Amino acid sequence: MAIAAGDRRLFAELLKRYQDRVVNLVYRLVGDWDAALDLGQEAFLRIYRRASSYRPEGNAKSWILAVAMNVARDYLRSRRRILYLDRIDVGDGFMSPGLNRGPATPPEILEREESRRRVRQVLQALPSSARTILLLRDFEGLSYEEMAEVLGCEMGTVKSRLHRGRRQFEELFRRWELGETEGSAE
Amino acid sequence: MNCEQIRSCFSPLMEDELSSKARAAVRQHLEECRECRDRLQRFQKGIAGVASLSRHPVPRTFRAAVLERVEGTTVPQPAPSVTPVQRRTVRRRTVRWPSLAAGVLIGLAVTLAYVEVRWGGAIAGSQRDSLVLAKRLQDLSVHQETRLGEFQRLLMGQGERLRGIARGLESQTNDPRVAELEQVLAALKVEMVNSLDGLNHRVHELGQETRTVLAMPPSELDGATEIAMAEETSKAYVLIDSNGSLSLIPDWAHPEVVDELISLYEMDNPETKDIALEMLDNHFDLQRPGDPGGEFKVGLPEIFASQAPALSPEEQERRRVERYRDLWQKRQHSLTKSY
Repeated sequence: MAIAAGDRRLFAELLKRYQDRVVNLVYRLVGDWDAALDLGQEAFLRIYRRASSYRPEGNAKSWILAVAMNVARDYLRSRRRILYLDRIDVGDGFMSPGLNRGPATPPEILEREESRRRVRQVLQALPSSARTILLLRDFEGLSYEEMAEVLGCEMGTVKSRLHRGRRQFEELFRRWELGETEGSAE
Repeated sequence: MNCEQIRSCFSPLMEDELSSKARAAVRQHLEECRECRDRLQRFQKGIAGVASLSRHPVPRTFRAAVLERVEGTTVPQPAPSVTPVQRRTVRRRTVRWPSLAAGVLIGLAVTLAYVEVRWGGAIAGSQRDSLVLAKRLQDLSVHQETRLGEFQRLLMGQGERLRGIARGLESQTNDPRVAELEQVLAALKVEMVNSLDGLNHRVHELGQETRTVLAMPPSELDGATEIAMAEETSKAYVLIDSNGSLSLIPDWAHPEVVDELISLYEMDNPETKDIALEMLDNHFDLQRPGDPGGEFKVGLPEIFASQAPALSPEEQERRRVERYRDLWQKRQHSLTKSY
Protein backbone atom coordinates (compact mmCIF):
# COMPACT_ATOMS: atom_id res chain seq x y z
CA MET A 1 0.00 0.00 0.00
CA ALA A 2 1.32 3.37 -0.92
CA ILE A 3 0.64 4.83 2.52
CA ALA A 4 3.04 2.23 3.85
CA ALA A 5 5.73 3.94 1.85
CA GLY A 6 4.73 7.25 3.38
CA ASP A 7 2.39 8.44 0.67
CA ARG A 8 1.05 11.53 2.34
CA ARG A 9 -1.16 12.66 -0.47
CA LEU A 10 -3.05 9.40 -0.46
CA PHE A 11 -3.25 9.69 3.29
CA ALA A 12 -4.61 13.22 2.93
CA GLU A 13 -7.26 11.90 0.55
CA LEU A 14 -8.27 9.17 2.96
CA LEU A 15 -8.35 11.71 5.76
CA LYS A 16 -10.63 13.97 3.75
CA ARG A 17 -12.97 11.13 2.91
CA TYR A 18 -13.20 9.55 6.32
CA GLN A 19 -12.64 12.30 8.88
CA ASP A 20 -16.35 13.00 9.39
CA ARG A 21 -17.21 9.33 9.71
CA VAL A 22 -14.36 8.57 12.04
CA VAL A 23 -14.90 11.52 14.37
CA ASN A 24 -18.67 11.08 14.47
CA LEU A 25 -18.39 7.36 15.12
CA VAL A 26 -15.85 7.95 17.88
CA TYR A 27 -18.05 10.70 19.29
CA ARG A 28 -21.03 8.35 19.44
CA LEU A 29 -18.83 5.75 21.11
CA VAL A 30 -17.31 7.97 23.78
CA GLY A 31 -20.03 10.63 24.10
CA ASP A 32 -17.67 13.58 24.29
CA TRP A 33 -17.07 15.79 21.25
CA ASP A 34 -13.77 17.28 22.41
CA ALA A 35 -12.45 13.83 23.22
CA ALA A 36 -13.72 12.56 19.85
CA LEU A 37 -11.71 15.23 18.04
CA ASP A 38 -8.57 14.30 19.98
CA LEU A 39 -9.18 10.60 19.47
CA GLY A 40 -9.97 11.13 15.79
CA GLN A 41 -6.53 12.66 15.41
CA GLU A 42 -4.98 9.73 17.23
CA ALA A 43 -6.89 7.32 15.00
CA PHE A 44 -5.58 8.91 11.82
CA LEU A 45 -2.05 9.01 13.16
CA ARG A 46 -2.35 5.33 13.96
CA ILE A 47 -3.71 4.69 10.48
CA TYR A 48 -0.73 6.48 8.99
CA ARG A 49 1.81 4.70 11.13
CA ARG A 50 0.29 1.27 10.78
CA ALA A 51 -0.44 1.37 7.09
CA SER A 52 2.03 -1.43 6.59
CA SER A 53 -0.30 -3.75 8.49
CA TYR A 54 -3.12 -3.02 6.07
CA ARG A 55 -4.07 -6.06 4.03
CA PRO A 56 -4.72 -5.07 0.42
CA GLU A 57 -7.39 -7.72 0.09
CA GLY A 58 -9.33 -6.04 2.87
CA ASN A 59 -11.72 -3.15 2.79
CA ALA A 60 -10.12 0.23 3.51
CA LYS A 61 -13.27 1.56 5.15
CA SER A 62 -13.47 -1.39 7.54
CA TRP A 63 -9.81 -1.10 8.38
CA ILE A 64 -10.05 2.62 9.09
CA LEU A 65 -13.16 2.24 11.23
CA ALA A 66 -11.52 -0.66 13.09
CA VAL A 67 -8.55 1.53 13.97
CA ALA A 68 -10.89 4.32 15.09
CA MET A 69 -12.84 1.92 17.25
CA ASN A 70 -9.71 0.58 18.88
CA VAL A 71 -8.62 4.11 19.75
CA ALA A 72 -12.06 4.80 21.25
CA ARG A 73 -11.96 1.53 23.15
CA ASP A 74 -8.54 2.30 24.61
CA TYR A 75 -9.85 5.66 25.70
CA LEU A 76 -12.95 4.18 27.30
CA ARG A 77 -10.80 1.67 29.17
CA SER A 78 -8.51 4.37 30.49
CA ARG A 79 -11.48 6.52 31.44
CA ARG A 80 -13.45 3.80 33.17
CA ARG A 81 -12.15 4.61 36.62
CA ILE A 82 -13.05 8.25 36.41
CA LEU A 83 -16.53 7.94 35.00
CA TYR A 84 -19.10 10.00 36.75
CA LEU A 85 -22.78 9.59 36.37
CA ASP A 86 -23.23 13.19 35.34
CA ARG A 87 -20.85 12.52 32.45
CA ILE A 88 -22.74 9.47 31.29
CA ASP A 89 -25.88 11.49 30.86
CA VAL A 90 -24.31 13.45 28.09
CA GLY A 91 -26.18 15.84 25.95
CA ASP A 92 -25.32 16.20 22.34
CA GLY A 93 -22.36 18.36 23.14
CA PHE A 94 -23.96 20.90 20.85
CA MET A 95 -26.72 23.31 21.67
CA SER A 96 -29.55 22.62 19.34
CA PRO A 97 -31.15 25.87 18.15
CA GLY A 98 -34.60 24.56 19.02
CA LEU A 99 -33.86 23.52 22.55
CA ASN A 100 -33.81 26.75 24.48
CA ARG A 101 -36.59 28.67 22.90
CA GLY A 102 -39.06 27.85 25.61
CA PRO A 103 -42.74 28.31 24.84
CA ALA A 104 -42.11 29.40 21.27
CA THR A 105 -40.85 25.94 20.29
CA PRO A 106 -43.58 23.81 18.68
CA PRO A 107 -44.38 20.75 20.79
CA GLU A 108 -43.54 18.29 18.03
CA ILE A 109 -40.03 19.70 17.76
CA LEU A 110 -39.59 19.46 21.49
CA GLU A 111 -40.80 15.89 21.36
CA ARG A 112 -38.41 15.04 18.57
CA GLU A 113 -35.54 16.62 20.44
CA GLU A 114 -36.53 14.74 23.54
CA SER A 115 -36.66 11.49 21.62
CA ARG A 116 -33.21 12.10 20.16
CA ARG A 117 -31.84 12.95 23.55
CA ARG A 118 -33.27 9.73 24.90
CA VAL A 119 -31.66 7.70 22.11
CA ARG A 120 -28.31 9.30 22.90
CA GLN A 121 -28.71 8.67 26.60
CA VAL A 122 -29.66 5.05 26.10
CA LEU A 123 -26.75 4.50 23.74
CA GLN A 124 -24.33 5.93 26.27
CA ALA A 125 -25.82 3.84 29.04
CA LEU A 126 -25.40 0.61 27.06
CA PRO A 127 -22.33 -1.56 27.61
CA SER A 128 -19.71 -0.43 25.13
CA SER A 129 -19.80 -3.72 23.21
CA ALA A 130 -23.53 -3.31 22.56
CA ARG A 131 -23.13 0.37 21.75
CA THR A 132 -20.38 -0.42 19.28
CA ILE A 133 -22.31 -3.02 17.38
CA LEU A 134 -25.43 -0.86 17.18
CA LEU A 135 -23.48 2.10 15.92
CA LEU A 136 -21.70 0.05 13.28
CA ARG A 137 -24.91 -1.39 11.96
CA ASP A 138 -27.53 1.28 12.51
CA PHE A 139 -25.48 4.47 12.52
CA GLU A 140 -22.73 3.57 10.08
CA GLY A 141 -24.86 1.20 8.03
CA LEU A 142 -22.12 -1.40 7.65
CA SER A 143 -22.89 -4.81 6.20
CA TYR A 144 -22.35 -7.94 8.26
CA GLU A 145 -19.20 -8.66 6.28
CA GLU A 146 -17.80 -5.23 7.00
CA MET A 147 -18.71 -5.48 10.66
CA ALA A 148 -16.96 -8.84 10.87
CA GLU A 149 -13.84 -7.22 9.42
CA VAL A 150 -14.02 -4.26 11.77
CA LEU A 151 -14.61 -6.39 14.84
CA GLY A 152 -12.33 -9.20 13.77
CA CYS A 153 -14.87 -11.94 14.35
CA GLU A 154 -17.09 -14.32 12.44
CA MET A 155 -20.31 -13.16 10.79
CA GLY A 156 -22.34 -15.46 13.01
CA THR A 157 -20.86 -13.76 16.06
CA VAL A 158 -21.67 -10.38 14.58
CA LYS A 159 -25.29 -11.35 14.09
CA SER A 160 -25.77 -12.75 17.55
CA ARG A 161 -24.05 -9.74 19.14
CA LEU A 162 -26.17 -7.36 17.10
CA HIS A 163 -29.42 -9.04 18.05
CA ARG A 164 -28.39 -9.18 21.69
CA GLY A 165 -27.26 -5.54 21.65
CA ARG A 166 -30.50 -4.38 20.10
CA ARG A 167 -32.43 -6.31 22.67
CA GLN A 168 -30.50 -4.54 25.44
CA PHE A 169 -31.10 -1.24 23.71
CA GLU A 170 -34.83 -1.87 23.39
CA GLU A 171 -35.09 -2.85 27.02
CA LEU A 172 -33.24 0.23 28.23
CA PHE A 173 -35.07 2.49 25.79
CA ARG A 174 -38.39 1.25 27.10
CA ARG A 175 -37.34 1.77 30.70
CA TRP A 176 -36.10 5.22 29.85
CA GLU A 177 -39.37 6.12 28.16
CA LEU A 178 -41.28 4.86 31.17
CA GLY A 179 -39.06 6.94 33.44
CA GLU A 180 -37.29 3.98 35.02
CA THR A 181 -33.79 5.21 34.31
CA GLU A 182 -31.16 3.73 36.50
CA GLY A 183 -27.97 5.12 35.05
CA SER A 184 -25.39 3.10 33.32
CA ALA A 185 -25.89 -0.55 32.54
CA GLU A 186 -22.13 -0.92 32.29
CA MET B 1 -43.74 -18.61 21.28
CA ASN B 2 -44.10 -16.53 24.41
CA CYS B 3 -43.62 -12.77 24.64
CA GLU B 4 -39.92 -13.00 25.59
CA GLN B 5 -39.16 -15.21 22.62
CA ILE B 6 -41.08 -12.89 20.32
CA ARG B 7 -39.09 -9.88 21.55
CA SER B 8 -35.89 -11.75 20.85
CA CYS B 9 -37.06 -11.96 17.26
CA PHE B 10 -37.43 -8.21 16.71
CA SER B 11 -33.89 -7.71 15.47
CA PRO B 12 -33.79 -10.80 13.20
CA LEU B 13 -37.21 -9.75 11.93
CA MET B 14 -35.84 -6.34 11.06
CA GLU B 15 -32.94 -7.98 9.22
CA ASP B 16 -35.30 -10.35 7.41
CA GLU B 17 -33.48 -13.34 8.84
CA LEU B 18 -36.45 -15.28 10.16
CA SER B 19 -37.72 -18.36 8.42
CA SER B 20 -41.15 -18.01 6.90
CA LYS B 21 -42.53 -20.21 9.63
CA ALA B 22 -41.01 -18.12 12.42
CA ARG B 23 -42.10 -14.92 10.71
CA ALA B 24 -45.67 -16.17 10.51
CA ALA B 25 -45.58 -17.11 14.18
CA VAL B 26 -44.29 -13.66 15.16
CA ARG B 27 -46.90 -11.97 13.01
CA GLN B 28 -49.68 -13.99 14.55
CA HIS B 29 -48.44 -13.26 18.06
CA LEU B 30 -48.27 -9.55 17.31
CA GLU B 31 -51.84 -9.55 16.12
CA GLU B 32 -52.92 -10.97 19.40
CA CYS B 33 -50.56 -9.21 21.83
CA ARG B 34 -50.87 -5.47 22.20
CA GLU B 35 -47.87 -5.17 24.52
CA CYS B 36 -45.53 -6.87 22.05
CA ARG B 37 -46.89 -4.65 19.28
CA ASP B 38 -46.04 -1.60 21.39
CA ARG B 39 -42.64 -3.02 22.19
CA LEU B 40 -41.93 -3.65 18.50
CA GLN B 41 -43.01 -0.14 17.67
CA ARG B 42 -40.73 1.27 20.35
CA PHE B 43 -37.89 -0.96 19.16
CA GLN B 44 -38.25 0.33 15.61
CA LYS B 45 -38.45 3.88 16.84
CA GLY B 46 -35.29 3.47 18.88
CA ILE B 47 -33.30 1.91 16.04
CA ALA B 48 -34.54 4.60 13.67
CA GLY B 49 -33.35 7.10 16.27
CA VAL B 50 -29.86 5.60 16.18
CA ALA B 51 -29.85 5.71 12.39
CA SER B 52 -30.90 9.36 12.38
CA LEU B 53 -28.39 10.57 14.95
CA SER B 54 -26.94 13.73 13.57
CA ARG B 55 -23.45 13.86 12.14
CA HIS B 56 -21.60 16.93 13.16
CA PRO B 57 -19.20 18.64 10.83
CA VAL B 58 -15.61 18.24 11.84
CA PRO B 59 -13.91 21.62 12.22
CA ARG B 60 -11.55 22.65 9.46
CA THR B 61 -8.69 22.71 11.89
CA PHE B 62 -8.99 18.95 12.38
CA ARG B 63 -7.55 17.96 9.03
CA ALA B 64 -4.77 20.50 9.25
CA ALA B 65 -3.90 19.31 12.76
CA VAL B 66 -3.67 15.67 11.66
CA LEU B 67 -1.56 16.50 8.64
CA GLU B 68 0.67 18.69 10.73
CA ARG B 69 1.23 15.91 13.21
CA VAL B 70 1.89 13.46 10.41
CA GLU B 71 4.34 15.71 8.69
CA GLY B 72 6.03 17.30 11.64
CA THR B 73 5.24 20.92 10.88
CA THR B 74 4.71 20.92 7.15
CA VAL B 75 1.15 20.73 5.91
CA PRO B 76 0.82 19.56 2.32
CA GLN B 77 -1.12 22.00 0.21
CA PRO B 78 -3.77 20.69 -2.15
CA ALA B 79 -2.72 20.76 -5.77
CA PRO B 80 -3.77 24.06 -7.32
CA SER B 81 -6.61 23.96 -9.76
CA VAL B 82 -5.10 24.81 -13.10
CA THR B 83 -6.14 24.84 -16.69
CA PRO B 84 -4.62 22.25 -19.02
CA VAL B 85 -2.32 24.91 -20.46
CA GLN B 86 -1.02 25.82 -17.02
CA ARG B 87 -0.77 22.29 -15.86
CA ARG B 88 2.41 21.45 -17.65
CA THR B 89 4.19 24.28 -15.89
CA VAL B 90 2.93 23.12 -12.52
CA ARG B 91 3.84 19.58 -13.43
CA ARG B 92 7.41 20.52 -14.13
CA ARG B 93 7.78 22.19 -10.80
CA THR B 94 6.65 19.09 -8.99
CA VAL B 95 9.50 17.01 -10.35
CA ARG B 96 12.26 17.39 -7.83
CA TRP B 97 14.95 15.25 -6.38
CA PRO B 98 13.52 14.72 -2.93
CA SER B 99 10.38 13.51 -4.63
CA LEU B 100 12.35 10.69 -6.13
CA ALA B 101 13.76 9.64 -2.81
CA ALA B 102 11.25 6.98 -1.91
CA GLY B 103 11.39 5.33 -5.27
CA VAL B 104 15.14 5.45 -5.48
CA LEU B 105 15.35 3.98 -2.02
CA ILE B 106 13.39 0.98 -3.18
CA GLY B 107 15.55 0.90 -6.27
CA LEU B 108 18.68 0.96 -4.17
CA ALA B 109 17.69 -1.98 -2.07
CA VAL B 110 16.71 -4.00 -5.11
CA THR B 111 19.73 -2.86 -7.05
CA LEU B 112 22.08 -3.82 -4.27
CA ALA B 113 20.67 -7.31 -4.21
CA TYR B 114 20.51 -7.53 -7.98
CA VAL B 115 24.05 -6.37 -8.60
CA GLU B 116 25.42 -8.70 -6.00
CA VAL B 117 23.72 -11.65 -7.58
CA ARG B 118 24.57 -10.55 -11.08
CA TRP B 119 28.21 -9.70 -10.66
CA GLY B 120 28.90 -11.35 -7.35
CA GLY B 121 31.20 -9.30 -5.13
CA ALA B 122 31.36 -6.40 -7.55
CA ILE B 123 30.34 -3.98 -4.84
CA ALA B 124 33.23 -2.71 -2.81
CA GLY B 125 32.84 -3.52 0.86
CA SER B 126 33.11 0.11 1.91
CA GLN B 127 30.39 1.16 -0.50
CA ARG B 128 28.11 -1.57 0.67
CA ASP B 129 28.79 -0.54 4.24
CA SER B 130 27.89 3.03 3.37
CA LEU B 131 24.63 1.95 1.85
CA VAL B 132 23.83 -0.26 4.79
CA LEU B 133 24.69 2.53 7.21
CA ALA B 134 22.48 5.01 5.39
CA LYS B 135 19.66 2.51 5.30
CA ARG B 136 20.03 1.87 9.01
CA LEU B 137 19.95 5.58 9.74
CA GLN B 138 16.80 5.88 7.72
CA ASP B 139 15.18 2.95 9.54
CA LEU B 140 16.22 4.46 12.83
CA SER B 141 14.54 7.75 12.09
CA VAL B 142 11.33 5.96 11.15
CA HIS B 143 11.54 3.92 14.33
CA GLN B 144 12.12 7.02 16.44
CA GLU B 145 9.20 8.80 14.84
CA THR B 146 6.99 5.88 15.75
CA ARG B 147 8.27 5.74 19.31
CA LEU B 148 7.79 9.46 19.77
CA GLY B 149 4.26 9.16 18.48
CA GLU B 150 3.53 6.42 20.98
CA PHE B 151 5.03 8.47 23.79
CA GLN B 152 2.94 11.44 22.76
CA ARG B 153 -0.20 9.32 22.74
CA LEU B 154 0.62 7.93 26.16
CA LEU B 155 1.08 11.41 27.60
CA MET B 156 -2.12 12.61 25.96
CA GLY B 157 -4.01 9.71 27.52
CA GLN B 158 -2.65 10.47 30.97
CA GLY B 159 -3.40 14.14 30.49
CA GLU B 160 -6.95 13.27 29.54
CA ARG B 161 -7.28 11.26 32.74
CA LEU B 162 -6.03 14.16 34.80
CA ARG B 163 -8.49 16.48 33.12
CA GLY B 164 -11.27 14.03 33.89
CA ILE B 165 -10.27 13.92 37.54
CA ALA B 166 -10.18 17.73 37.67
CA ARG B 167 -13.66 17.90 36.16
CA GLY B 168 -14.90 15.42 38.73
CA LEU B 169 -13.40 17.47 41.55
CA GLU B 170 -14.92 20.60 40.14
CA SER B 171 -18.39 19.14 40.46
CA GLN B 172 -17.79 18.33 44.10
CA THR B 173 -16.01 21.39 45.43
CA ASN B 174 -15.81 25.13 44.98
CA ASP B 175 -12.13 25.21 45.74
CA PRO B 176 -10.57 27.67 43.25
CA ARG B 177 -7.43 25.55 43.12
CA VAL B 178 -9.33 23.08 40.94
CA ALA B 179 -9.74 25.70 38.24
CA GLU B 180 -6.08 26.53 38.63
CA LEU B 181 -5.24 22.87 38.25
CA GLU B 182 -7.17 22.74 34.99
CA GLN B 183 -5.29 25.79 33.74
CA VAL B 184 -1.97 24.21 34.60
CA LEU B 185 -2.98 21.02 32.80
CA ALA B 186 -4.05 22.96 29.72
CA ALA B 187 -0.75 24.87 29.69
CA LEU B 188 1.17 21.61 30.15
CA LYS B 189 -0.68 20.07 27.24
CA VAL B 190 0.25 22.94 24.93
CA GLU B 191 3.88 22.82 26.09
CA MET B 192 4.05 19.07 25.71
CA VAL B 193 2.52 19.02 22.25
CA ASN B 194 4.85 21.77 21.06
CA SER B 195 7.94 20.13 22.50
CA LEU B 196 7.14 16.72 21.13
CA ASP B 197 6.19 18.13 17.76
CA GLY B 198 9.50 19.94 17.63
CA LEU B 199 11.39 16.79 18.53
CA ASN B 200 9.38 14.74 16.10
CA HIS B 201 10.09 17.26 13.39
CA ARG B 202 13.82 17.06 14.03
CA VAL B 203 13.76 13.29 13.79
CA HIS B 204 11.70 13.56 10.65
CA GLU B 205 14.24 15.98 9.19
CA LEU B 206 17.01 13.56 10.00
CA GLY B 207 15.13 10.88 8.10
CA GLN B 208 14.64 13.22 5.15
CA GLU B 209 18.32 14.10 5.10
CA THR B 210 19.29 10.47 5.17
CA ARG B 211 16.86 9.70 2.39
CA THR B 212 18.30 12.54 0.37
CA VAL B 213 21.77 11.12 0.85
CA LEU B 214 20.55 7.72 -0.22
CA ALA B 215 18.96 9.19 -3.31
CA MET B 216 21.67 11.69 -4.16
CA PRO B 217 21.53 12.23 -7.91
CA PRO B 218 24.44 12.36 -10.29
CA SER B 219 25.99 15.79 -9.94
CA GLU B 220 25.37 16.81 -13.51
CA LEU B 221 21.65 16.31 -13.22
CA ASP B 222 19.21 18.80 -11.87
CA GLY B 223 15.49 19.18 -12.14
CA ALA B 224 15.68 20.77 -15.59
CA THR B 225 17.85 18.12 -17.16
CA GLU B 226 15.71 15.47 -15.62
CA ILE B 227 12.69 16.94 -17.34
CA ALA B 228 14.58 17.00 -20.58
CA MET B 229 15.45 13.35 -20.14
CA ALA B 230 11.85 12.54 -19.37
CA GLU B 231 10.70 14.35 -22.47
CA GLU B 232 13.25 12.73 -24.69
CA THR B 233 12.87 9.22 -23.55
CA SER B 234 10.32 6.97 -25.10
CA LYS B 235 9.32 5.73 -21.71
CA ALA B 236 8.68 7.80 -18.66
CA TYR B 237 7.59 6.30 -15.44
CA VAL B 238 5.27 7.57 -12.83
CA LEU B 239 6.16 7.72 -9.20
CA ILE B 240 4.01 8.34 -6.18
CA ASP B 241 6.62 9.49 -3.76
CA SER B 242 6.81 9.76 -0.01
CA ASN B 243 5.25 13.21 -0.15
CA GLY B 244 2.35 11.96 -2.20
CA SER B 245 3.42 13.73 -5.38
CA LEU B 246 3.11 12.09 -8.72
CA SER B 247 6.23 12.61 -10.72
CA LEU B 248 7.73 11.74 -14.03
CA ILE B 249 10.93 9.86 -13.75
CA PRO B 250 13.34 9.14 -16.56
CA ASP B 251 13.93 5.82 -18.10
CA TRP B 252 16.99 4.84 -16.09
CA ALA B 253 15.05 4.61 -12.84
CA HIS B 254 14.23 1.22 -11.56
CA PRO B 255 10.83 -0.11 -12.62
CA GLU B 256 10.15 -1.03 -9.01
CA VAL B 257 9.14 2.53 -8.34
CA VAL B 258 6.41 2.25 -10.91
CA ASP B 259 5.16 -0.82 -9.12
CA GLU B 260 4.17 1.39 -6.24
CA LEU B 261 1.58 3.11 -8.37
CA ILE B 262 0.57 -0.09 -10.06
CA SER B 263 0.07 -1.86 -6.76
CA LEU B 264 -2.00 1.04 -5.56
CA TYR B 265 -4.11 0.74 -8.66
CA GLU B 266 -4.31 -3.01 -8.69
CA MET B 267 -4.97 -3.67 -5.06
CA ASP B 268 -8.38 -5.11 -4.60
CA ASN B 269 -9.79 -1.95 -3.22
CA PRO B 270 -12.10 0.24 -5.28
CA GLU B 271 -11.49 3.25 -3.10
CA THR B 272 -7.71 3.37 -3.36
CA LYS B 273 -8.07 2.55 -7.04
CA ASP B 274 -10.38 5.52 -7.42
CA ILE B 275 -7.93 7.70 -5.58
CA ALA B 276 -5.10 6.55 -7.84
CA LEU B 277 -7.12 7.25 -10.94
CA GLU B 278 -8.40 10.54 -9.63
CA MET B 279 -4.92 11.69 -8.76
CA LEU B 280 -3.65 10.57 -12.10
CA ASP B 281 -6.43 12.31 -13.98
CA ASN B 282 -6.08 15.51 -12.03
CA HIS B 283 -2.38 15.87 -11.69
CA PHE B 284 -0.57 13.94 -14.33
CA ASP B 285 0.14 14.60 -17.93
CA LEU B 286 2.82 13.06 -20.03
CA GLN B 287 4.81 14.64 -22.78
CA ARG B 288 4.50 12.45 -25.82
CA PRO B 289 7.89 11.96 -27.52
CA GLY B 290 8.05 13.57 -30.94
CA ASP B 291 5.18 15.82 -30.09
CA PRO B 292 6.81 18.41 -27.85
CA GLY B 293 3.93 20.85 -27.97
CA GLY B 294 1.31 18.22 -27.41
CA GLU B 295 -0.11 17.34 -24.10
CA PHE B 296 -2.40 14.56 -23.18
CA LYS B 297 -3.67 12.87 -20.13
CA VAL B 298 -2.82 9.28 -19.57
CA GLY B 299 -4.68 6.71 -17.59
CA LEU B 300 -3.04 3.81 -15.87
CA PRO B 301 -3.94 1.32 -18.60
CA GLU B 302 -2.07 3.50 -21.07
CA ILE B 303 0.94 3.60 -18.84
CA PHE B 304 0.85 -0.15 -18.53
CA ALA B 305 0.68 -0.41 -22.29
CA SER B 306 3.60 1.99 -22.65
CA GLN B 307 5.61 -0.23 -20.38
CA ALA B 308 5.13 -3.30 -22.45
CA PRO B 309 7.16 -2.70 -25.60
CA ALA B 310 7.18 -5.45 -28.17
CA LEU B 311 10.66 -6.66 -27.36
CA SER B 312 11.97 -10.16 -27.13
CA PRO B 313 12.65 -11.39 -23.59
CA GLU B 314 16.38 -11.44 -24.37
CA GLU B 315 16.31 -7.85 -25.55
CA GLN B 316 14.32 -6.80 -22.49
CA GLU B 317 16.83 -8.51 -20.23
CA ARG B 318 19.75 -6.89 -22.05
CA ARG B 319 18.22 -3.44 -21.62
CA ARG B 320 17.46 -4.20 -18.04
CA VAL B 321 21.06 -5.11 -17.30
CA GLU B 322 22.24 -2.00 -19.10
CA ARG B 323 19.90 0.11 -17.11
CA TYR B 324 21.16 -1.37 -13.86
CA ARG B 325 24.75 -0.88 -14.87
CA ASP B 326 24.09 2.72 -15.82
CA LEU B 327 22.19 3.31 -12.61
CA TRP B 328 24.87 1.68 -10.57
CA GLN B 329 27.64 3.77 -12.12
CA LYS B 330 25.72 6.92 -11.38
CA ARG B 331 25.05 5.73 -7.88
CA GLN B 332 28.71 4.93 -7.28
CA HIS B 333 29.58 8.40 -8.43
CA SER B 334 27.07 10.03 -6.13
CA LEU B 335 27.93 7.87 -3.14
CA THR B 336 31.61 8.52 -3.55
CA LYS B 337 30.76 12.18 -3.53
CA SER B 338 28.39 11.92 -0.58
CA TYR B 339 30.52 10.05 1.87
